[in-house]
Amino acid sequence: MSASPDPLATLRGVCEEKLPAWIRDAPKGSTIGVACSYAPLELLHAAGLLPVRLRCPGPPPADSDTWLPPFTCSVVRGLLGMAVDGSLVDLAAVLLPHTCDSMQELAGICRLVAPGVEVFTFVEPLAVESPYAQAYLQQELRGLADRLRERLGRRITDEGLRESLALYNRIRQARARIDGLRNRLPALDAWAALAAAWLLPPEDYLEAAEQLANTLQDAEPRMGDRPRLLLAGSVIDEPLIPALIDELGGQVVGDDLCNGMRDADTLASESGDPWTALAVRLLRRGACPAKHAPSRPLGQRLADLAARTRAQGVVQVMVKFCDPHAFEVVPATQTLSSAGCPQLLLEVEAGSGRGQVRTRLQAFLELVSGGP
Amino acid sequence: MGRYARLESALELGRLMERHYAEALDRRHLRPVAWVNAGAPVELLRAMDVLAVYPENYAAMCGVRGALWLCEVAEGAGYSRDLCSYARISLGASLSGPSAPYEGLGRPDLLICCNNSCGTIVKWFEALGRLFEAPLFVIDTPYVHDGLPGHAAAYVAAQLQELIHWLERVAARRLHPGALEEALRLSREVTLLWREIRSYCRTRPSPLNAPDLFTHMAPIVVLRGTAEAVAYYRRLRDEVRQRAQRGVGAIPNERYRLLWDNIAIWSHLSRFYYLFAAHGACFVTDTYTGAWDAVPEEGDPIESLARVYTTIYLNRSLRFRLGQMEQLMQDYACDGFVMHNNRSCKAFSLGQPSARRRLADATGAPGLLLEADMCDTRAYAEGQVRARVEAFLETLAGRAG
Repeated sequence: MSASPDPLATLRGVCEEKLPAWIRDAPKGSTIGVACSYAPLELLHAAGLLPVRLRCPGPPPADSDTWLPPFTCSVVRGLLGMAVDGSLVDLAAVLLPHTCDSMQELAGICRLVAPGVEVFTFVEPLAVESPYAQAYLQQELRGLADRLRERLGRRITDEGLRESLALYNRIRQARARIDGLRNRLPALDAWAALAAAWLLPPEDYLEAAEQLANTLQDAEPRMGDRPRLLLAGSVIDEPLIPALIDELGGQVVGDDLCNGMRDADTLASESGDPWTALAVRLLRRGACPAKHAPSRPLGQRLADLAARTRAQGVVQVMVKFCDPHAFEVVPATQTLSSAGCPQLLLEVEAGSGRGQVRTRLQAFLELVSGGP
Repeated sequence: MGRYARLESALELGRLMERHYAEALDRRHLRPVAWVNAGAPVELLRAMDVLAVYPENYAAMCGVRGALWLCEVAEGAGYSRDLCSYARISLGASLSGPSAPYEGLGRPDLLICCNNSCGTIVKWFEALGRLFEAPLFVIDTPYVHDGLPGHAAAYVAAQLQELIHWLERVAARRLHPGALEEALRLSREVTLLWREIRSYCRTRPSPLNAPDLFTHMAPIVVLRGTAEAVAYYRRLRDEVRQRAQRGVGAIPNERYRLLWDNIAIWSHLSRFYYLFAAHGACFVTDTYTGAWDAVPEEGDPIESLARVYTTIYLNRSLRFRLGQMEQLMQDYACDGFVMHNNRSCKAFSLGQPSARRRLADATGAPGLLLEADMCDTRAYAEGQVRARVEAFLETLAGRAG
């Protein structure tokens, strides 16, 4: 597909589809679904695949209730639901990284109950600061490349990987530009413009994102003195929260979201061995709460980001039953409190109603802006 | 029904655990105290004379006594009610000081954990590290989807070497030549004894029932790699073997033989399993106490530790675990199985609904999936549990004719 004359329409449009329509038109066997931001997109792209993040807006399909306990997060329920209801039939395969206990179990369950789905696993390190993590991860990346060759006939060359690293670096730079120009965009548009990076073919996203960034560069700031919020937490697959922030008169000045800016702060080196460069990027990127990264606690990252963006409050969005976040949110809350930063914790599930979220966001916006 | 046959070794078990906890709680800390998880390679600590103390075991003991209030203390400190109840009990007890059961678990000098059981353990130990301002070492054991890749074994081995240096630095201990080999030898022996003890349950009637296994697994968790554990399990082995030889069953009138999957329901250890025992249903094997069944290989001790701790039951794929359950059902001639769908343990529980169907299809035996929690009594609905257990037992009775 090619970018539309209105790049924002392209970026918003793909976020409105549960599974992007372009997948149906893509060459057979060329697309791969990924379930988490630790998926090595560059490697997949170098293998000639188009990675697309699988997202789960709306209530999980009823089928998933048959196969999962009720205390499973809506992300995993949604993913399994798509695997069993045939939604993934146009994909060559699905890659499930090992980010948390639920994601790791999902791979085994998928193989049992949806044998038609070609599942690849990728066990990235948990101890991302271990001095031995890099050597392990490089081997794990090589192992994934071998499996892609064996099972999908896809070969990766060093040169191809280097080119993909450069492409995704440009994408991260384009995302950073949009992130830095948020005062020209409503929260909903900014969310879509960044989330679309996971949903469009990378070349198409880059074109649209750079076009949008250029347009924004020339535009005047338009968010004025709306209360400034930082949006943090798990993945946000639905537009509900950013849309409500717009509706209630707030603005989002930065994010630390799984499908937002969390992974965008680290570019891969474009010189030297590309496998090393990819491993280093994955280890140094903003750590997911599921990781053990003692020198980079989430709370400090949020406090620093809040200070840098002059946020007046932090909204932490936690997907229910996301254990890593539920643990991490405790010290993060303490750190933010010590930094004098007001915060709101929203526990959500895909498809959860807007009423309570709206009320709590409204009260929080009133709090940070000094009352109604 | 007749009287539940109590093991004579239980008295010695009590004494053994008392001695262990007396040292753990000795405020003088005659040697460094490391809080570790059940999947940590404790043999290294034995070899470096560091006392290993297990918050998981402590949480289970609290769970037996009733530990809802400790969960609530942790929840009051911001930890979600949806989190693992062991973690909440441990954090609640740590926040409660000596008012916690058994006057609490004291303070750790250091913390060591390994994610071969789950990722939750790492977040829990990170929280303990912050609470006690104690240094934490995390051993990252990559999940084994298919076979154990060489680079994963090498990664774990490298971390174990690093752990030795870390203990030298943080705990001022040295690894004495031969000490690790000796700890591994003891570990090997105790694991083989535990395997032998469990294997006697293949006899009919089974000399042990799940609550026996759950209770008597404590030393293999907290004293693995020690001579005390070996001595204890030799004694238990003799008693269980004698029972098997004499045809003494754990429960009177064994009619149905069952497999148990997942962690015990500690809060209802007697009452819940009595529901089954009262109808002649005995849990003759299980996946929980079997997790300590892996024998460290001979050869390079670090490589051996890396392999055995990376390939433990919960760090293996669902397909592997399903295969293990099928094998257990066959080896122990089980008539059915019960899966505790444990809200606290996603690693054990998420795959159970799909595994239940597969296991029932593969074995032709009925299976009960029961949602509860290992310690949080709010997740245990007494009436509902009773009704479902009775319906399951009726199914078993119907099949038995």
